[in-house]
Amino acid sequence: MRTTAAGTWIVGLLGAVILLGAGCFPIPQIEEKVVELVATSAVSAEFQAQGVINLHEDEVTIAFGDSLDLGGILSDAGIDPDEVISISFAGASYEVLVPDTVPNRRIENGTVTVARDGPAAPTDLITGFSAPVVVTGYEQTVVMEPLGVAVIDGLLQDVLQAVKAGQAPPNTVVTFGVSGEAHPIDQPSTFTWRLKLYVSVVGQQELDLVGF
Amino acid sequence: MRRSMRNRRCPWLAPLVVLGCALACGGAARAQLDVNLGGLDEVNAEGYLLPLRGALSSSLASGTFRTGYIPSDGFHFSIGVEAMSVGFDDEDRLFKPSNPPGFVASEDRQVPTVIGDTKSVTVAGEGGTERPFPGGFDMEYLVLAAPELRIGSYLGTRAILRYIVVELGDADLGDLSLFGIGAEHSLSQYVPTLPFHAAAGVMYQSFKIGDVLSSSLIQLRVTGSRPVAQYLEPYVGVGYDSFALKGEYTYKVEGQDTDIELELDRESSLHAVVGVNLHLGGFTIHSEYNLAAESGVTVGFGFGR
Repeated sequence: MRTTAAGTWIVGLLGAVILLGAGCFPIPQIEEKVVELVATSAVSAEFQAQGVINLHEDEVTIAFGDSLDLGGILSDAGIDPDEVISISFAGASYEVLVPDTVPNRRIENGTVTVARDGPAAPTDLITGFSAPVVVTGYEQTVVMEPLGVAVIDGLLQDVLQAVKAGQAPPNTVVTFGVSGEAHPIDQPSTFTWRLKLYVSVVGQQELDLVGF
Repeated sequence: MRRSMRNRRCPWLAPLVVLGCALACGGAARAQLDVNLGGLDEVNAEGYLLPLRGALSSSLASGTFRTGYIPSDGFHFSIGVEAMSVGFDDEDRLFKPSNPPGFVASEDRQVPTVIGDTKSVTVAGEGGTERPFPGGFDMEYLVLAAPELRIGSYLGTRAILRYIVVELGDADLGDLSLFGIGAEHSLSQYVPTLPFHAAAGVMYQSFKIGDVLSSSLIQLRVTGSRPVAQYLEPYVGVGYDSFALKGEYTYKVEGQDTDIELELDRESSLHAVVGVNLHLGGFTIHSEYNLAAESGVTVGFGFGR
C-alpha cells in the first residue's frame, strides 16, 4: 500500500494525538470514603370488620418496638448502631387482605388515631380517608397528619436510643384506633385490612473506594 | 471484621483487575449496594442504577476490534490486557425519585444515583414524613480491565476471548466475572484493490458483579486500518452495540423479603472508534477513543500479532 507524504504526516499526527490521549487515562487510587446507606422496614397493624353495619370502629394494640426489630434491621444492613445518622417515619399504606363480598363496598371518612401506651390521649394519624374494601393486593398510600407523625417519630427516636444503649426500648406499645363509615349503608360489612407504617434508617459506613 | 477483610483484598485487586469499578472493589461496597437496592422499590432502583447501563455498555464494547488486518491463514495469536475507561456526565449523578409505597413527597428533589455523592438525601413528605434515599459511590469514571486472547487464522477469520473471574470473598454475593467471545473476519481479502485493510467483527460479552448485577453485550463492528511509517497502524471503526443490564436484589420490608428481578431497558447505540496501534516487534500497544452510549478512552498492550 502506498502512502503519500501528507497522508503519513496526517495519520502520524493523529496517532500521536491519540497516544497523548492515552496519557489522560484515569489512574485509579484507593480512597477512604464515608458512604450513607438506607435500610427500610415496616410495622403493620391488622383490623377486622366483622358484620359491622354503617360504622366500622376497631382498636388494635401492637408492640411497635418488637415488631420493628431495629437491631435486626441494622444487623442485616451491616450498620453499627453508633453509625446510625437518622431514623424516620416514611409514611403509611392501606391494603385489604380479605375483601368484602358486597360489591362496591367502601369505607369513607376514615380516621386512624395513634396512642402510645400510657396516659397520652389518642392523636389523629390519618383523617378523611376513603377507599374500596373489595380489592386485594393493592397498597394505597395514605396522607399523614403531622401530630400523629410526631408521635411515631418520637417512638422511633426512643427505639433508636435504646438500641444504641444496648437496652430494651421502653414503652413502645402502641394502640391504633380506627373508625369509618361503611357504604352502601344498612348492610353488614366483613373485611380485613392492614395499615402498614414504613420506617427508614440512614446509616454510614467507611469504605475503601476507587477514586481518580 | 468487615473492614479488615476489605483491606486485605483491595490493594492487589484494584490495580490489577477492576481498576475503577467501585462496586467491584470489595465485599463491603457490593454488600452496601445490595443494602441500598434493598431499600428501594423497583422503579427507584432502576433510576439508581441507570448510569451504569451506558457506562458498562461502552466500556465492554471498547478495545475489542483494533485492526482491519486479519491474516488469511496460519497460526497467529496475541495475548494482552485491555483497560477501558468511561467518564460519567454530571447529570448522571442525580435522578428524580418516584414516591415509594406509603410515601407522598411534598417537595421536588433529586437524589443520588449509584455514581452520585456518597451522602444520602432525605425528601420531605406530606404530614412531616421523611423518606431518605441512599448515597452513591461517588464515581467519576468506570474503568474495567481484562486479559484478552486472539487466535487464528482460518480463511481470514480469528477468534477473540476475554475471560476473568475474581473471587472477592463474599460468599453471599459471589464473584466478579467477565467473559467474552467473538470473531473477526477479513473483508479486504475479497477486495484486493481496497487501499486499506477491512474486517467485520461480532462479539458477545457478559459481566457480573456477584448476584447483584449481571449484564450482556452484543456488538457488531466494521474496522478499517492502514499501516504507516512501519510501526504505526491507525484504525477507525463503526458499529452497533446492544446492551442489557439486570439487577437482582431483595426488597426488604417488615420481614417480608421480595425478590426483585430488575431488567433495565436494553441500550442500543451506534459506536464509532478511532485509534492507533504501535507495533514494536512482537509487542503492541494501542490507544483508542470511543464514541458510543458514553465516550471514553481505552488503552492496552499485548504480545504477538
